[in-house]
Amino acid sequence: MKTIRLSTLIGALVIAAPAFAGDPGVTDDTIEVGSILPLQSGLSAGASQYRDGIDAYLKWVNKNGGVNGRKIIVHFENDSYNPQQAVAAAKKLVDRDGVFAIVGTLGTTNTVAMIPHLANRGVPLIGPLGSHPSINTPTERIVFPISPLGTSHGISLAKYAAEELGAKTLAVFYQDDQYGKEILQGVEEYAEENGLEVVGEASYVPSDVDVSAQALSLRDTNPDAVVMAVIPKHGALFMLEAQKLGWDAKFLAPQLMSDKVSLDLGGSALNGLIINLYSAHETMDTEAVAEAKEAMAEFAPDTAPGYWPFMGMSGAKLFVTALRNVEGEPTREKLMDALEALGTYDSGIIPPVTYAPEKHAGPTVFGYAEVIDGEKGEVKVLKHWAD
Amino acid sequence: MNWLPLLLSGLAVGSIYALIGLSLVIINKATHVVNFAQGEIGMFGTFIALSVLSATGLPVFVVLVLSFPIGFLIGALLEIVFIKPVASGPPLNVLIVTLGLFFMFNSLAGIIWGFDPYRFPALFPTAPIAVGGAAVSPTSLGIIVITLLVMAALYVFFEHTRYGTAMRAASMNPFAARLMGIRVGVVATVSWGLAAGLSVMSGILIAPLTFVDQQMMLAIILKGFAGAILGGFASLPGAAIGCLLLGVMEAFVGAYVDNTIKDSFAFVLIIVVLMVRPQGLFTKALKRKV
Repeated sequence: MKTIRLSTLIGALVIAAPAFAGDPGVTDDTIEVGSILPLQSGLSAGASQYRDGIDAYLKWVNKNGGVNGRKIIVHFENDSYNPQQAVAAAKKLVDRDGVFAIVGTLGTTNTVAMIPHLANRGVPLIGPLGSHPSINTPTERIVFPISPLGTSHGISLAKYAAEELGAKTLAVFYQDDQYGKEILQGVEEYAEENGLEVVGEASYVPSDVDVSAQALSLRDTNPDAVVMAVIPKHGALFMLEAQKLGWDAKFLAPQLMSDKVSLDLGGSALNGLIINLYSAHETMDTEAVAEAKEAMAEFAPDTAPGYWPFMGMSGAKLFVTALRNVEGEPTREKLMDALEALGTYDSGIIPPVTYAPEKHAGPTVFGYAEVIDGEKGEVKVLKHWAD
Repeated sequence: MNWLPLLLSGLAVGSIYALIGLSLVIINKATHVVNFAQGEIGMFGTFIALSVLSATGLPVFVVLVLSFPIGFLIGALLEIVFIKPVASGPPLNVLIVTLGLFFMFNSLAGIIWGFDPYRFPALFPTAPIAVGGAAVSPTSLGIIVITLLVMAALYVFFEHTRYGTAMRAASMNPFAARLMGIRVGVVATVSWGLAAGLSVMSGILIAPLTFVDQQMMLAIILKGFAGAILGGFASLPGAAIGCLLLGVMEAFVGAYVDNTIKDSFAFVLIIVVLMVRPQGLFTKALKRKV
């Protein structure tokens, strides 16, 4: 009889277990999430600041009571900007550590590589920063982007050149990959629709050690403005070449070109560079920026507030905002429902994102700023994205 | 487009390839292997030079001069600690050790200095100067002049000094060289030192143009190797000319044809040259008597 009773009890527990068990990573007082970043790679400077932004914001949330009584614990993994390592890190976090969601990835190929595994497990990916349609206009429901489409960058920069600088002719210096080509495509689209002429295009590959030929060839096309679709190292190299040539065209680039690494490398050659803003600038006088800076000052005092920490923080903020709206026990499905209920949402530290059941899209509007003194790291905001 | 700045820019980059190419040939002559770690030794030495600059505030030209003995010490130590113990084994063993050294230096640099690029102080004025009606970068001219001076010094060393002659003898016939009283083991150590010194100098010369980071020499070692093969791996002058030629061809193909094909163009051309003239463009074929 005892055996029958025990068997019945075990059977009842097995049947009832799903009703009591929450999704992985959730306990009564904590929620564990993961973040996969290229902490040992050419992007490590940005990645470590990105990590500090996520970490500082979540610690700040925890200090202020957590989310519905639960503290958020974040586990960081390095993927070395390597797709294989990224997949391995995703498997470790999801299958072994059992995290609830991934909050923050950085880089295109590594993020694209891990998406199928996360989708297969139904794990939300909030705040991936990269330039690829599967990141910025995802078909997988789990992906919630924070960065604009590459073509939007190109359009925003060409538009500023035409409307604010009066440019009629443009040249484009771009990285010969998805990131650079999308920006180039955006510039070409805008130029065609608005009667501008793209008079020169020159590319580089990341292994190039010399971009003087590209600078010479583009200068010879005599454009009114030059749009750069570059990473900091090659953008700085190009601007230094332009400075050597005494080339006085207007130069424009994505916000990446005003981060600390770019300013350190380019120095005064970056003076006058126009950048589009898809994250807040630390000099902006808004409540969200003040809050972000407060969190950074308290929990990551060695990292200056700016582009990278703010981008990292934006994903963490979207996660926390949606999680607060989840009713009852948090599950991954409920979290994705809550994210999709945000609609067009302005976190204040990046331009508004749009999350709805039929559409997950990063920002489509931009602010603008100008590098005033590259040697001193002085950047002036010209226009907020809300203006 | 004015061809003169392009030519000088190509010659400057080719000069960097030449310093690396020469260092590869020197080691190959002494130990009959290709040192895959040559570029990483240059990168590591450049980071050391940058640290010395930051810590001491010495003039950058003093650091450039010091870079040769710094590199020499690194290379000689590597030969004594890692290469000598395996030198008597099959050549593949030494090759694998150089691959291991590549990864060791690459990782070590990342651990010590991080993975970000750093700006290196300019060796020459940055403002262009007018030459033949064209604006020419003094940096390009400076790199070319320094490289030519280094090549001349190498020529004098190998052709007109007793030790240089001994090194050539040891590379041609180690057995006979030993019988003549030449310490062949020491020659190998000196060759590694010499090659590493050249690599660090090349790193410091290119650093103001390309910044200092853990990846800075990856493309350069490949091009230096390819240029040396193009000119002739058995000859120091041949290797140097091959590297200069490669730098110039890259610049012109990148500017006038398509930048995206300049890397593949260089290597396709080298394959063609090897098919037609396996010994390289500027060396005579070795004939073996049977």
